[in-house]
Amino acid sequence: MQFLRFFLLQFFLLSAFILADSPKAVALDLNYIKEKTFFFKDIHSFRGKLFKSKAINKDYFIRQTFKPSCNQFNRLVIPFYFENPNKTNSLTFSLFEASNLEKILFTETIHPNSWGKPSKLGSFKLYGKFHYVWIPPIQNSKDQSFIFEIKSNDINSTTGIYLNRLKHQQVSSIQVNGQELPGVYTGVLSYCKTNFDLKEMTEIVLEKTKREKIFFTFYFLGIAFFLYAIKRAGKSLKKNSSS
Amino acid sequence: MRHKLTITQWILIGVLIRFIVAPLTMHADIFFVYKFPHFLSHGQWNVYEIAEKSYNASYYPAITLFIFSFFDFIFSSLFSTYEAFVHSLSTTSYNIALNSPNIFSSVLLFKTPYFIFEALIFITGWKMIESDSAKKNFAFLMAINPLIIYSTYLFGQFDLLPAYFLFVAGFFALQKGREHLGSIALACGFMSKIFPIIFFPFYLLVAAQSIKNAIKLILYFIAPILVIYSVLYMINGDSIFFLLKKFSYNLNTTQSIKHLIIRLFQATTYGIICWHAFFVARKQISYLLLAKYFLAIYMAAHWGLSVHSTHYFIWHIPFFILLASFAPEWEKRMYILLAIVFLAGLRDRTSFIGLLAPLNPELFLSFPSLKDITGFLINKSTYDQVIAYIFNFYAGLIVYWIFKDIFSKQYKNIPKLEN
Repeated sequence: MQFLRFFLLQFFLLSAFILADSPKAVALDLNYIKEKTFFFKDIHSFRGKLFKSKAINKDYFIRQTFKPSCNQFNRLVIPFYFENPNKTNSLTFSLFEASNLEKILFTETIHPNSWGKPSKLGSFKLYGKFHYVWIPPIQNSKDQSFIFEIKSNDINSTTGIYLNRLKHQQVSSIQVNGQELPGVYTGVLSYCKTNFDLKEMTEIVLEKTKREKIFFTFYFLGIAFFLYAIKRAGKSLKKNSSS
Repeated sequence: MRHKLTITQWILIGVLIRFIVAPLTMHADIFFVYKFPHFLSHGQWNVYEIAEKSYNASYYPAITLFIFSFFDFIFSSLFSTYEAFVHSLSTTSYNIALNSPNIFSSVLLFKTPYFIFEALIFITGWKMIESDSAKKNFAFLMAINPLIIYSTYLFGQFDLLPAYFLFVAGFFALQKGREHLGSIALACGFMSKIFPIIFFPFYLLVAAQSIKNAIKLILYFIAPILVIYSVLYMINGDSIFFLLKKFSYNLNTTQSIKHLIIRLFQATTYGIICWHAFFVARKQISYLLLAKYFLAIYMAAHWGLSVHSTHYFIWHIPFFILLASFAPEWEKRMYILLAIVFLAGLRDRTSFIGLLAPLNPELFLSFPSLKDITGFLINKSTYDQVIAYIFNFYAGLIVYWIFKDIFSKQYKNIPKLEN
């Protein structure tokens, strides 16, 4: 028991040390939490047999068309592979509306040479980096087509994207250097920011339960039956012990 | 509280809790569990080939496939809404399936076999215990076990199935004249989730009384595997081995110092347990001692394995509960282990509040996981590492406690075996 107390004390001391040591502890920003915490996954294309694209460089760029099924699209997760040491200085990510490639909705520079060693990607035996792209929420993104583009000016780049051949209803075939590559998709994941509308949230739950009202009638009857049985099992014990 | 209620009441409370959560919660993994057996229940025997060629997926071993196909066949025959739902799983995405009109009833049906596996574990444990107080402890610890409720009935993982086969093998190990049934149970365990194979050499040492008997037990273990896999190989070809290429258990044999040290500790623990079972306590092995043996081997096997996969801990839970029923000091130890497992396991959104996704996918999958929350304060990988270290240390401590127990006075003066 004494050892256990010692173990728990060590655990709390260690936790306190980690917290105190973390620069994030002081940089806790409520706005950041509000903006970047509540989101849900919409497109999940990181699946099937994944393979590497060619390294993205001056002569090789990729475009991916996709269609979110929700409003407030705000995040993409792009699975990159890269060699260690990483020779890619920078990649340029750009987001467009599919109907207007002239107007950039969002752009950012990615610095692969700051990623460190490749790490394991999910439960796959693949190594690289899931890069998060945070986009200012796009209000009416539902069923709109967007294109993201990854480019680089590096000549000796060693970074590329994981691709697959598994069809996804919301993802179209990629374009390489502007040419469509039929049946090949990026392993991208997309997310939308949650709209906390209490009325709408309650309506969804009620509608879903209403659709299965016969099931829920039996479900609540079952719960009532168990509660009754639990009570009765206690009563019968008291009866037996008193007699 | 525990003593105010009867065993029947605890069992009913346990069933009620499970029944309440079962239709309302789930993880995407349960779709995977039923997706492929549905092909078999429709008469397509080349399930492994379909899984590999069409989905680049490896389904679980044969007994899991057969058992879930059997239940799928029954449910599909009885409920047309279930059939429509499970049929759609092969083509629709997780998000779309969550909004299906029959999600709640189908998810409850998905989890119905788990009630049966757990009842079988309960009956087996009941037979291993003689004293009334230990029986009551066992009923209580099973009924409100947070890991069983979370991993099986909230999450939807089927690991109670291999856990049952392993537990029943433990039961038959000490049943004279029925040891071969334990071998068959281990074979079934191996054909439901592979890991029970690590217990087979130990099982032989405990259950076989002679070399002749050991050979018989080996044959009982190998024969069903050979027959079932030969038939499946003829139908599916090499696809039945695809699982071995992809599965994620603790089998990394790289020559890094870290892995060598882990393997060394694992082999030493296994060796000590086998030595104790064979030379020290051979004729005095009780179910209490057997539970300790199984738990020590399991804890050692888990060093280096992912702590985040909560369902892996279901494999040993029947033995831990059995041990805690006999020896109350193990109850606290079990709950501390479960606390560590939960701190490690609630790491992604789908396994935390997102389990309520059938009610409102967008809302419940939006909430941050425990790992996200800690991620606001500390580096996420630091959190993972700290939890992994704590787990490995605590698993080591459990092995130490077991060694301390089994090498205590009780077995010191047992004469050596004649042979």
